[in-house]
Amino acid sequence: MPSGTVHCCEVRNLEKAFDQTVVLSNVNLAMPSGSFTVLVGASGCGKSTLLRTVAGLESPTSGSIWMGDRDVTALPPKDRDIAMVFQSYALYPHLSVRENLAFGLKLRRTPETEIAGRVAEASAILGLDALLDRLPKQLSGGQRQRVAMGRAIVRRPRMFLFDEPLSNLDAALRAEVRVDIRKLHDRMGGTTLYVTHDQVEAMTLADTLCLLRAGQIEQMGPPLELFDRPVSRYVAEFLGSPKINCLDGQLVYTNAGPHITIGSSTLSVPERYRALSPQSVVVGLRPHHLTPASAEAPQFGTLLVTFYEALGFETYVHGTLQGAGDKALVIRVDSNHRVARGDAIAIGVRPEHTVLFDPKSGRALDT
Amino acid sequence: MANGGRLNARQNVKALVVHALLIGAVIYALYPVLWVLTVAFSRDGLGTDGFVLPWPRHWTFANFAIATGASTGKSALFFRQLVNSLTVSASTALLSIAIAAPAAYALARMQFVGKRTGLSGLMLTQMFPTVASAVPLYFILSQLHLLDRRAGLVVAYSATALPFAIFQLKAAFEAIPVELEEAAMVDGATRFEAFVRVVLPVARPALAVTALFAFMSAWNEFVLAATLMSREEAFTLPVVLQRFVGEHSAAWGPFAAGSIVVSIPVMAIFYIAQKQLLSGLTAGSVKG
Repeated sequence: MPSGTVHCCEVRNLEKAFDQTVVLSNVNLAMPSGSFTVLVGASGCGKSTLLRTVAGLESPTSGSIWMGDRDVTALPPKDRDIAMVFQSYALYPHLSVRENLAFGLKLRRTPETEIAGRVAEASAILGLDALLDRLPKQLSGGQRQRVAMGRAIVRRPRMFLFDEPLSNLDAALRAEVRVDIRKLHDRMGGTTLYVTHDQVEAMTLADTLCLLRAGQIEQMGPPLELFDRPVSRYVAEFLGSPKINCLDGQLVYTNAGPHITIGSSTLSVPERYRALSPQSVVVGLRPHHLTPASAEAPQFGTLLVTFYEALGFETYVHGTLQGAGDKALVIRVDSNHRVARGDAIAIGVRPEHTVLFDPKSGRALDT
Repeated sequence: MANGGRLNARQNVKALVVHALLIGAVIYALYPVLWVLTVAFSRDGLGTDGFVLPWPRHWTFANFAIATGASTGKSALFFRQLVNSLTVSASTALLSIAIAAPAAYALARMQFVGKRTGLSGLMLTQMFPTVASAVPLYFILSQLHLLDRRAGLVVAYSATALPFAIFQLKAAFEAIPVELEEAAMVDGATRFEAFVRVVLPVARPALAVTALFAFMSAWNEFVLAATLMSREEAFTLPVVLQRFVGEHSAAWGPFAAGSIVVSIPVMAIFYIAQKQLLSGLTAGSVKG
């Protein structure tokens, strides 16, 4: 397999335009062998187009795609050694499950005995043994999804591409298959590129998370890095549910040192922002970082409860920040913490959990 | 369930009206056919004295013997003409599909210069009556030395059947999700292999309907066959039939009997292919 600098797949300076509309620009993405990369972003951000370009189903306007040390930009999909799982599964409706699995191997003139062996292996891994002689229309959604994955793994490709493979499943099944996909990846040892708009899938599956915004990579890195150290307000707001609270504030210096004011509330400034000059800022506070005030999380304001959602294992409390122009805020509390509409809760945050963004550009202020 | 009875009564009335209308439509469509049957099986031809419900008074099979040449010693000729009709119609169906399928695929899936013009051109050809092309076709086929030959008819029929076949198949191909082909291409197929191994099998009902339409239009066609074929051995059945109703005499009995004989193969094909046809005629209306 490729050595240190050679990646399983590499996208270089990719640009894609349909007529006058630029869908992808300046995309650079390196996927080491065995890595699990997730492309995430709002609909229309170009993530599917990027995946399809890697697959060879779309050709780039400029830039190149490399598989190992081979430039495959001009090669058709069949010569790229990839397998793909489609959102609609795209099972061949006229072929049985067995024939669906064997289709790619037959096209590649694999000997019959080897086809039988590989189909049996994939079928055992995915639990398809009882379904092999059925037609796709006789399968449930979850079963079709497994056949689609089976069709990918029998090929033993260099790279797996997934295009929102779970979006047609119900929530319970989605959580289950999500785990299966990651286990399968670890077992097969292939390189995976996975497209989703679901942030839970993105966070849980990825080694490397690549967040696309309007055709460009907004931030790329380990999921928790994107979550904890977003480069922009956009990234911070995209990841996390409920969404991060963003409040307009001022970074000011007084005799007591630097602090942030949000209306009449005051926050201390994390170490990494101490070098900033006084300015307007957007303060990002994750709901789960906002807690009833305590010694570690000193109070910075009071939340007037307007609404709450008790989920059983935790409760999201919606309210307004007193003295801050009635700014809406969401915090998370333990489910044993009783809340009622009209309550006033003293809330605090650990200073290091505060992130600051430039109000105009939306960029994080510590980068 | 409180007003279930009333609702049922209303549904019953609706069902009654629908059935009455459908039965009426079936009678309207079959009444002439009943006449043909009556004339074919009657010894005295049209001598039914104008009663409303036609039914043979004196049963006979003599008309069939005349129509098939059994009683005139021409059964070998009739057999040959039957084979002419079958081969010409089957070849027309095959040739039409062979040309229309790739053309329709290109029109359904690819963008190219002249696509819209080409489609309008195809549409335009549908607006001319067949008769208008009879004379030009005669000259063309004469130049190609294809007059009086089955191949000539096949060429002419395929040309007329193509536009409809292309439109039909284009719609069928457009109804197939493009991901199926993409999956095949990722799986290792070229575009052509994806077309042959995925698109064509999935479109089989539509191909069957289109082939049958081409077959039937060739099977029933009279004007071109009468114009382009002058030897008796080269006739197709519609031309043979027409000869029973000449300028000076009209042998309605054999004509009716011949019509029935001619209808049998088409009915047989419809019967055999009905499952394919029904799914083909409704293709795209329901998501698989």
